[in-house]
Amino acid sequence: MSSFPAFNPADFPGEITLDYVIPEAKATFGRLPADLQPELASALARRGIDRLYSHQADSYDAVRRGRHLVVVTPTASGKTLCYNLPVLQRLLEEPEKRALYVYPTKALAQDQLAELSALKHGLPIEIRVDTYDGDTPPGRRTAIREGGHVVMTNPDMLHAGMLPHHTRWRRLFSSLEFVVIDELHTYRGLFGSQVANVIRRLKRICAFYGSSPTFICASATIANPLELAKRLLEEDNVQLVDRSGAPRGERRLVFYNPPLVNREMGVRRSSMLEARRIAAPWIRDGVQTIVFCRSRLQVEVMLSYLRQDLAPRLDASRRVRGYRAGYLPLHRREIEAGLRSGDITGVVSTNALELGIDIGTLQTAVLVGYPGTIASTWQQLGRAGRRSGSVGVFVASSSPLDQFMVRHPEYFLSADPEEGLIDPDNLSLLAGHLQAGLFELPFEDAERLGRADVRELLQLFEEDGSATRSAGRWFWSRQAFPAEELHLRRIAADNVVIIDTSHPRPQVIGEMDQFTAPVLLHEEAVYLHEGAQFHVDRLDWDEKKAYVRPVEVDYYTDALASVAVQVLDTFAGPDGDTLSCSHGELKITSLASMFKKIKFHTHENIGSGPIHLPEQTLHTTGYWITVDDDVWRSLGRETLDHPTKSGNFAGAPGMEAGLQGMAHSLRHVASLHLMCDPRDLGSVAEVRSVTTRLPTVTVYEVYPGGVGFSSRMYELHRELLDDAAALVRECPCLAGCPSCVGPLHLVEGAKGACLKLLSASALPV
Amino acid sequence: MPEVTLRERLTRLGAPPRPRPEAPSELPRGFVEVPTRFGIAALRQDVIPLPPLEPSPGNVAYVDTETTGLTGGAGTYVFAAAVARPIDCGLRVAQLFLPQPGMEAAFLHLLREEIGAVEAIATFNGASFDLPVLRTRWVMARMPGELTESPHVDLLTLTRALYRHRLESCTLRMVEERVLGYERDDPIPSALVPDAYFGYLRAGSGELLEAALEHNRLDAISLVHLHSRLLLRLKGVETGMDAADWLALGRHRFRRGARADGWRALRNATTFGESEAAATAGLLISRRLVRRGSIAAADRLLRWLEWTAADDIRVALARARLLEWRRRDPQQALSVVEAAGHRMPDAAPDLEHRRARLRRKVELVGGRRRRKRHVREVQLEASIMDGLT
Repeated sequence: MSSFPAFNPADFPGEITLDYVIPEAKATFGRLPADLQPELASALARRGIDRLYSHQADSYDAVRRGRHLVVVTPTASGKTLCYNLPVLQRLLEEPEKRALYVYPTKALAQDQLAELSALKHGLPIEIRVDTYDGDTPPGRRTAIREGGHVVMTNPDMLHAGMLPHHTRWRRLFSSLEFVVIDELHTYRGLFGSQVANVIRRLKRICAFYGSSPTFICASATIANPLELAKRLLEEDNVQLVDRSGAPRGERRLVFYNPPLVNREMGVRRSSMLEARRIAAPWIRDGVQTIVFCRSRLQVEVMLSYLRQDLAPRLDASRRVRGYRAGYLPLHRREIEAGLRSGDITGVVSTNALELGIDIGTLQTAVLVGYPGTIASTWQQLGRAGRRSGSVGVFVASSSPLDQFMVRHPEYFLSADPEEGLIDPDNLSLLAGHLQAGLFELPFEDAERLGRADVRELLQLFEEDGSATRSAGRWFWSRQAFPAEELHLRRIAADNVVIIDTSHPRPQVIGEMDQFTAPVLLHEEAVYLHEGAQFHVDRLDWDEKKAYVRPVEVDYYTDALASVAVQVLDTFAGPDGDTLSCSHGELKITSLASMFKKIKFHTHENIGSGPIHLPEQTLHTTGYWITVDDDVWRSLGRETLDHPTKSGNFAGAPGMEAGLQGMAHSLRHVASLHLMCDPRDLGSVAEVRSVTTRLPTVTVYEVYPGGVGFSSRMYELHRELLDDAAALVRECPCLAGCPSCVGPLHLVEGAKGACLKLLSASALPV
Repeated sequence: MPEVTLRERLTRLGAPPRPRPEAPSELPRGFVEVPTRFGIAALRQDVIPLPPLEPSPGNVAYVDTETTGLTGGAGTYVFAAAVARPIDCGLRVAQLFLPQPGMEAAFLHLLREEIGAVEAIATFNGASFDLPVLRTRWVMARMPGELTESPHVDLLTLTRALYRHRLESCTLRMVEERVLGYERDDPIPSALVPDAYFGYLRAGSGELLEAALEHNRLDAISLVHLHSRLLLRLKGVETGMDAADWLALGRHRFRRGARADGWRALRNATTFGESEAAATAGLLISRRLVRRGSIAAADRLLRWLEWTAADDIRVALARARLLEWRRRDPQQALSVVEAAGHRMPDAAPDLEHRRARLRRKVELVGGRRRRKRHVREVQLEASIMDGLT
């Protein structure tokens, strides 16, 4: 234990629910493949590799036998060699062949470029490896299209930059032998469903040029890697390699639950402040530390905290850096380089760094709040000490999911219950990608897009003029460029550009998607960027421009949005139970109505204001539970019959709060099962729904059309109710708190009512 | 996707498909079916009178295409192409039309026949638009080999080099009006052209498509006249050129490595006396003279420019620089700067730094004898100076 950076639980007032040392694991080796080109073997030897880990050898064999592959091993187990080795071998055998590597982020592709470039050094032929993304200078693009043996890109670029212009890539597509899809587990939910359709289109283009590539996927640990790979690739001949032969260093894992400061209200000490207390001494002592926050806002706040803690040092702002998706590419590269060189000792990040960028020397990781999935948690904790003894600390926030996880560490250690779910046949996604596919290549009369039957959609397109039939084929017949209108990671088309007006020549400092913007960029918002505060002077919604200027104030802003639901179509249910569940299609409207100004450190509310921005409408799928009217009335009477200790009767308000608590807790446990961010789901409680005319709780998907979560929630109905009840019951608060029933702690009786409602299905109808 | 559309679509997906409109069978006016080994193509051709072109561009095919979009990419089709070729008895204009997207192979095959047997093809912006789009179509139609690779002249590039200073923008429309001197009553704005074709695919030929085809045909014809006009100017035999025209021509010729022509054009520009372009041309010449070591000739030229372009600060600065650094004569450089300061009081503050430095140098040198320096004078460009002095 002495090799670990210092962390003494006694120094912290909260509860340590897990302090676990993962023992080291010995390596299992396999031989270097017999058919390996001698030059490749000596290139490996130069890097100190004279034999392979067993999973690397297994992967090589599978690929050489022509099978599609999915490799699932922990972080830092040498996963990249699983695909680099067979690819390089094939390129040495036939230098005309090509490979396409797809990474979820540009940064990751950059990093793998360096890795592969080092490996190919000294090979007898010049193997050209390039990244091709939005940052690639136009002058180099032609050379890459013509001569790149291995092209590394991301799904977005493949979707909008390569496939629609495939004739320029004829060289690549006609000789494409391998498609590598790394970080497979990130392709789930909306993004995964989108990428599945991009892969369908990629396979069409390959078929056009007469190639039929082998797919090699690599993934972090999830419950269903093989199923996800089969669904994503729409291939059956997929082999799973999931036994890691790599050794593992000793690692210490700590789960920390900050102390309750108000038991009645279930309020705990801020996870931000506790994480700061843990991370700051390490950073001060030069222990390279990464702090993961859940949101952009948190990153910026944490950044200013940690810099203050280093304050006497003049280089505090250089040694502790923020890293998140909104930063411009050059800026990010610089931070990545600083991490490698050791000039930077602290990094505060959103999950942009979660993916396997190898920055080597980080020793400690602090997670502020539960990252949302077990897979992400392992990855973030795995950031620290890939090679040496290391410490990873998870600091729970008061959120329900965090409290569930921190109280059930066995859930975390034992199994991997999370599944990667995708629905490539989501109608609106399918329609969008069908248009893109039609633009790329005409459809034959009976042709499918992947496995999806698209004949009816094509007829529909013809009716609205997007498609034309000619000579037994369907042709795109609109002026528009469909891939441009379709974003893989979000549905909103136009980003809001953030412009700093304090310079003589205004500067663009970042951008934000249209759905987030009303909440973070409304007028009078304090927007934080790289630790600096900016006041939003004007938000031009029509032009999608936010004009900001730097300010220094002691508060930040937090906006509230109100949400309403309308059921459009019911796919299944109701099943007639006391708590009867259904799933189907919904229309959700959301309106950001006001914001609060919250003081730093004390987190007290020091003012508020209205937000005047258009309502956002969402067309999606969801799952809803109705409460039987008689049961509702009898529970209501029960609640009325029991005066609370303050002597007042908490009647209908208590029941309504209970219903809201039910919505809140269900949403959180559902996200746990679905391996999605709780923010991928929304929930609403209505005492009388316009559609069901009953007390109703709705959990909906925040992506238009949904990506398959709703039907799964419908199937998981029982488990969701049980886990939600456990979450509320086990919470140490007295009468309900934000950690269980949500932000309703001022309504008395909420917790009791919520528990009764969640268990109501045991009651007779 | 907006809520209504998705909803509508879901409903409509459940309903039986509507009867499809009949594919149009009628070709636009004047087009005939031409059988090729790749299927049927649609062609319209005629010969129109053409006055003898002087200078004659030679055996060139002038090509203009109409496409279903401006973004390029695999889903942008070429639905019409006009090819104009000067022949002995006039101008032959052939126009190809794509009756259905599925008939692309025949269209492309015939197009290659039309532009195959020429010395060169000429387009307006073809380098970055028409040709890449055609190459994409070639691949998409699974045509064997490559699209013709005759030498290509992009008239837009030439027009930009020679006329940009006269035009707010270098659209073909603008060039016709301001360079060729005729205004075309264009029947259809470019933005509507794709819709004209999509309208045809749905409902058959109509006024809009006829207009788009006429637009295409006239564009190709304009290119013939434009090319001839550009050649006239390139040769330097066009009448009525002013200093800016000569300057643009000179720069263009230098870029292309035609130095003798470049010198001549710049020299012609300088003869226009008091204009900014003339001074610019003079400065370019003097810079080249200095680079060749003809310091005295450069000085003479600048002295002369100082007189013709007396309120051009660039000239005064260039001469001061030459005197100070090449001729090592701070005294005279100082007087140039001071004179310029008097002539152009607005510029005086900008000259202050230089004047102060020159003053210091003069004082320093005043004390001792100036060192004799041998300055290599080459009289290479005497002939150029003849025209000026």
